[in-house]
Amino acid sequence: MEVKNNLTQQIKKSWAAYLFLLPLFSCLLILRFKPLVDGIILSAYQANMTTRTFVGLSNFQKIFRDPIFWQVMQNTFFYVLVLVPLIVAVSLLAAIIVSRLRFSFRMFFRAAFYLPVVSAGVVMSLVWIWMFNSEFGLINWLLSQVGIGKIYWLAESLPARFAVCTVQLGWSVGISFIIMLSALEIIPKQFYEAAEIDGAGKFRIFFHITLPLVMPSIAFLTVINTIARFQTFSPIVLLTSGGPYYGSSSAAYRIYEVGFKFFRFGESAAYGVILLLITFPIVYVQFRYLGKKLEL
Amino acid sequence: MFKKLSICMSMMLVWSLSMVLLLGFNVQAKTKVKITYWTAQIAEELHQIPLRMLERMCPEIKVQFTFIASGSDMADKQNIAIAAGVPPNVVWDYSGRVLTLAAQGVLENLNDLYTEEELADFEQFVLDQYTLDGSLFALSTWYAPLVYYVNKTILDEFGLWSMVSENREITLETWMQIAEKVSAPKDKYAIAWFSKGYGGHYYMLWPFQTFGADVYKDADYTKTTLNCQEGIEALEWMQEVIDRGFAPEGAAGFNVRDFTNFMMTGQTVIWGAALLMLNEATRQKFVDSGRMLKNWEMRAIAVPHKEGVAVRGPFQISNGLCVLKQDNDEIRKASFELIKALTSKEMFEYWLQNTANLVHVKIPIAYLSARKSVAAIACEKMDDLQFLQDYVLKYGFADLGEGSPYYNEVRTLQMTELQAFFMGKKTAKEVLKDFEKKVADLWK
Repeated sequence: MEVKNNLTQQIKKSWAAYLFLLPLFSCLLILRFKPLVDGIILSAYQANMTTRTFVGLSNFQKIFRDPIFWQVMQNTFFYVLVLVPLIVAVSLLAAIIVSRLRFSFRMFFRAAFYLPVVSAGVVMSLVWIWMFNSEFGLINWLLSQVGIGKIYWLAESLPARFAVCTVQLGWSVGISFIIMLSALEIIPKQFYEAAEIDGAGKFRIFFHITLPLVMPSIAFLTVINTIARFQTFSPIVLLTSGGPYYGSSSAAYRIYEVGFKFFRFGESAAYGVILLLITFPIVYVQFRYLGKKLEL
Repeated sequence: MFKKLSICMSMMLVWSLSMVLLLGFNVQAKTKVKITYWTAQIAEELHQIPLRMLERMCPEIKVQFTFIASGSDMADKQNIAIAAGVPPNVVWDYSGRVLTLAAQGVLENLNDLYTEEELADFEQFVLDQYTLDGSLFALSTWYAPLVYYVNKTILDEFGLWSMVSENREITLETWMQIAEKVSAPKDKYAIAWFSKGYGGHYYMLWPFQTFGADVYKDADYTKTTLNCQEGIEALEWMQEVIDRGFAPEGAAGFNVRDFTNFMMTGQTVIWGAALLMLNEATRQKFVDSGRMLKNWEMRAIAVPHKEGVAVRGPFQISNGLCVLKQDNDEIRKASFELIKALTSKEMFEYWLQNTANLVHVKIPIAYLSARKSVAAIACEKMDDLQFLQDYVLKYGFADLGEGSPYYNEVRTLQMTELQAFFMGKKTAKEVLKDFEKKVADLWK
């Protein structure tokens, strides 16, 4: 009763705030939660563009029995485990280097790193396809100059996954870099000065001052990149079409392929539910653990 | 007083004129029904041609053309638009996708649109290609046999053109001799294999034809007949072609665009195409834009046949005009009227007459007409056109499986299994066995 009274009092006090939040919450409900619920319901149906038949868990059984699903999930975890640390590490390293430059150079690099984020993905992917071409691609030519033989980037599974990672890294590092750079720039200079006076070397300064102070940003980027990398899609569509032989396909690509190429919307929705059931606990644990440690 | 009166009068005049104009436009707009029409961008100029005729034949229809960048983009955008409930009204799309859409229940059937007499003027295989469960869902204005083209300029340099020129129906043995000679200097290949994506998958089926394995028999799409000894031999031969240096390695990573680019850069001398080759002016335009390395001459040849194996006719593809299901009766009626006009004999003749001189790089210069009573257009290489017509007349067409409602999924499976083969993940026997099983599973 007391709790209820407190809640009522709180709402009465902040009714204006709730009113301002109402449009956003309505949009979230309509654009996010309703499609989510619809997708979960659809996963229990065999559905094409015009008809649907209730099949219960049959779609899930079919997916779990399909070897393609296990290959696709393996690839998805590959992208998460390779790209998330790489994006965070590369953006941190780049931000540290750029933060030491003069203001005008910092502005230039800020724009340069962010440019791929705003560039047309299709155009960039077409360029990357040429670069990865085993016969006349730039990458193989550069490798041949240092004595490395031809790599069939898009014709073998592991190289194809690395090709996808390379393109995705180029797209994703921009935003992470901006966040890291901002985090570095707000660290008070007095901390570094004090550390230098105390005789701390560069490594000690980095590990005992810089890293702890940018940890909230690192935690935040880890969480959002984990979510995003479970949904790796665009470079696969443009570069490899999920091949060779599902070697680079991801869960998100499989959802698209089954739904929009083969018109098996129920099965596609089931893939989506499985991806949600895998992603949600991982991100929840990350958020809880990192959030607690770093007061996020 | 007078000043105020004149201002009032002027304002009333302006207001009246505006209302008359607005009403006038409104009335005019109401008389034209707007039809959204989607097609792949390769056909952009082709569709500009009948516009004048359309204005005369369908004055109450206003067509809003949307040209999609490529065939694969067309499929993706179309599927998403349909799934989202905002489909275009009329689509001119690849035959392989039309019956897939019909099986989904998103196309109007055209059974009542044409009389028996009108349909009798269309080639039977064109009608069959767009018929599902007895209902006609699209009609085509043209079809194109899928044949191979050789780089005559390079073959001339090697003194090999005479091996092809006398009889375009070369044997596999002759093909191998040509391949060996052109690959000998190690700076080019005979052909390129590819297996990424499903675009152009039919070009990867010709070795099966050569060895005597058909994709389907007797239009039974529930079971593929590629899984046979001849099919295994065909696949193993494709690997042999790579091992002997006649085709580049890495076929699992190449797609149909790479297949074309190899030809455009002179790295291969044999290429597949659906349409008669580019004319002199178009090739020069390709060269000037940097897309093609030199102004090579290309000539059509038949799919090679193995000695002792019955010769198969080519595959063929076409684009069909279809109407997507609409709630609005007026738009549905106008859509039917539009495709009736576009597939009329009058339009055929007008269209064919006006494509003769097109030199745009994306426009093919000739088609074979889907109507029996309308001849194909004359083009630069009349002997190529004659060869194609004779070839088709002699052997008919091989069944690519476009009549299957699972055509898109089957061709994706074909190319994926081919990838497994080129990667060395599966043997030829395993690939064909798995492919056969997967096709059968689609019908369960």
